[in-house]
Amino acid sequence: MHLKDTTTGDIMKSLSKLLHEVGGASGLALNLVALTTEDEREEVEKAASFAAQEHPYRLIMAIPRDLDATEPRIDAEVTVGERLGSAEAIILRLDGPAASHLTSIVLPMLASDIPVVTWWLLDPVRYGLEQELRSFADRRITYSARAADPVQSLYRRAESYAAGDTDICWTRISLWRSLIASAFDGVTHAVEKIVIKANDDDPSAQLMAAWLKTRLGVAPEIVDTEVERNSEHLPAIASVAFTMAGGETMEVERQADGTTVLLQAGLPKRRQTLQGRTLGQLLAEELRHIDPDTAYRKVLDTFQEQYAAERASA
Amino acid sequence: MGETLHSINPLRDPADRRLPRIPEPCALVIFGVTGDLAKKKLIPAVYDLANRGLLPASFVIVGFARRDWGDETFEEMAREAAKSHARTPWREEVWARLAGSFKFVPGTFDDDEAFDRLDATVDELRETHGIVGNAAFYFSIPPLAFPTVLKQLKRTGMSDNRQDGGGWRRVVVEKPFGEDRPSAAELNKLVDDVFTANDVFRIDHYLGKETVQNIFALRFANAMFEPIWNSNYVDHVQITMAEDVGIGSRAGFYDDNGAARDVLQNHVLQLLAIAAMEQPNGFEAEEIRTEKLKVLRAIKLHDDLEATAIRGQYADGWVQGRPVQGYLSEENIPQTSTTETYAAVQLGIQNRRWNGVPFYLRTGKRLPKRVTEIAVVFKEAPHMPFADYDTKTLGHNQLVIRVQPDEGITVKFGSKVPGTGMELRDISMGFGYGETFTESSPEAYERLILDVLLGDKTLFPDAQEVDASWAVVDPLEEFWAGTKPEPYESGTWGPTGADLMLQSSGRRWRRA
Repeated sequence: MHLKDTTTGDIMKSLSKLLHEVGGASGLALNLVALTTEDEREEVEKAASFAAQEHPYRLIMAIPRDLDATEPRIDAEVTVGERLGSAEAIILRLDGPAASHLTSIVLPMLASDIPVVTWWLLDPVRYGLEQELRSFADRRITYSARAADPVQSLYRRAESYAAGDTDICWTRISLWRSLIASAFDGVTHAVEKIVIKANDDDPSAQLMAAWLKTRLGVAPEIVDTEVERNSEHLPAIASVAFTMAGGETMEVERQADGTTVLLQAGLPKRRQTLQGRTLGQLLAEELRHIDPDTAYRKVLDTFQEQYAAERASA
Repeated sequence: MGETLHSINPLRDPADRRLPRIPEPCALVIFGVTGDLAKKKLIPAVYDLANRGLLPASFVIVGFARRDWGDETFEEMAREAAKSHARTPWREEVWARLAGSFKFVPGTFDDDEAFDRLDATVDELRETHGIVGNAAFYFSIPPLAFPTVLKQLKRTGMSDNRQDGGGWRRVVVEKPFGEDRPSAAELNKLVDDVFTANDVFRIDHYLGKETVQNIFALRFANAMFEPIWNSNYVDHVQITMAEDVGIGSRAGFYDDNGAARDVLQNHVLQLLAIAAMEQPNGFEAEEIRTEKLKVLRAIKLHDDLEATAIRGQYADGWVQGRPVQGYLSEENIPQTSTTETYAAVQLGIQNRRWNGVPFYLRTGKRLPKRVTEIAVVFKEAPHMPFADYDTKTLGHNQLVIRVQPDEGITVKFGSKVPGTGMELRDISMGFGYGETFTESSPEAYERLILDVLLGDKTLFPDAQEVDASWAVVDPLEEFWAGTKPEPYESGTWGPTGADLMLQSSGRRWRRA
């Protein structure tokens, strides 16, 4: 259902009409507010409809359109169970001052008393939306790799961290971390040295280093390497190598096609596959826990210290 | 459990919930790997686990069966099986990672040499795959063969947990766990002796279902259900496990056992235990088992079994628009068979919570549809300030846990019909367990195989529970011995005796 130059009241009436037609309300788990641009709309819709299979939600997608317009204007599209899968979806296109007063538009549209997750897939600084929606969201998801200066953007997020923040750059290293952690099951020696071959300006590589420093107490050295990736949502990490106190070594190395080799002294080579996940899969992982990710918090703190120290010395 | 291990791994932080628990490098040895269970459930589940990144870097499947196969033939068969039955999308690269991890050992169960070869094969994995002794043995074989295979595992020493350099040995057995209390005790003793009791995993795949685990959440994580979950408010409980299919190709096994031994003894009583148990002190396997066992041991059959233990056998009829033949006309079933394909029974639970609350259990084949549910039926409101004719159609409040299909919960309660009068009617409010979500919800076998490899016994009934369940079923079998089950038309909800059982107390079966 398309609504031109409309109001939140009319949008909600349309939604409840559509819900009534399909037989009443369904069990919603959360509200997902996605901030995106028209260029990325399809990508966001695809991801959102995938994640909705796991987390039934009301999706409110806000797309700033004509920012220079003097009059605020809202155009909306309301769908239930169509191209957005099982989600109840409201897609908003906002002109002029409407975009910068997003909170006032979104608040009345939220399904009552269930968690709110906001997801920025646009550069919040560029659109002046960094503070918008922060006050009532339980979780805030950003994707710093999409910003103009990714690592700098992650640092900004670390400085202004609030409980409930996460970044897809953290989500996308879960499989890597899980592989490394399982390689450590049964390792008894302490780690002395860690070398990460990765793209230096990938926030995921920085978070990987910060995670290892947090857990192992050893600051990894990042060797800036051009990493070939066969999926955008992969971290730009080629390998992570450990040297133990006993002199033993262990290395996890990913090749461009996804074949990942675990080399551990005294054991045969072991192979696994490590592929990039889709944005929808990453989003679904992110939505699994609605309380603040305290493990991420610690890692982000380590990153922030490290980054600040490096900047000071440079 | 793996707790000690995880505590020494500095990368594992309990607060870091994104890191999945992944088993140590290990082998899964499947006996009877050419059977339906292995093809349709076990191998696809392994693929799905690999696809979800939940398998260790070193993982090998060793197949044992009476086929003249090499590793490649086995791998090809496994690939076909995974491709046609996996839940998650097929991805060649996931399979590629499993490729080379398939070993096949041909042989029969009484062939000593074959088991020596199997032992050697598992040992070699140390060198070739860095698997230092960890192995789970999956018995996907007829129970008759259990003793032979167990003896072989004992003879070769394969069942011993490896003391040097670590390594666990576990065994996974499927139902039936015996056919009565004494035979189950014998089997339990045998398997617990060859392995240690702690290393025996008895699969009841119902416990691997998300909805069954959700009963714990529903009951113990919420404030609004538990206060009314007792005889003060509950009138009775109905547990239904209905199938629309017949016995299929299981004639031999089925005719020897029947519905009570096949389904009631395990799945249905496990559902009852979880629905009726007290709150466990914690969520450790042992704590849950303690409570389940208490409930199972508190079960008491009704004194009048004639009226409260009903058997049926399906006759010709129509199921879902197709004519089907009766049980006695099925292939390989003797004309004179008195095996039941339907059983309904009324039980009581002798504790304070459930005193006087009847539990009605029923299971059957060739019923109108496939459905498993637990329905808690509440007492009527003590007083209703409405005219009788206004509340005429009002029934008891119900809370129904739909285990399968359409996993979820339904609550039924009275509501005013729109209009000028004060007419009331029952409405039902549904919660779909994630609506379309069943697609991404893991299969029971995925969960259970992973738990075996992790050594987590929470979802596996132990020998005492099996024993307590047989203690319920044995007297029923004894009572039924020498009698003929009541025929019921295929495609109906079972024999009339079952309806009378409830009618005598003014109740009726829920139409599931």
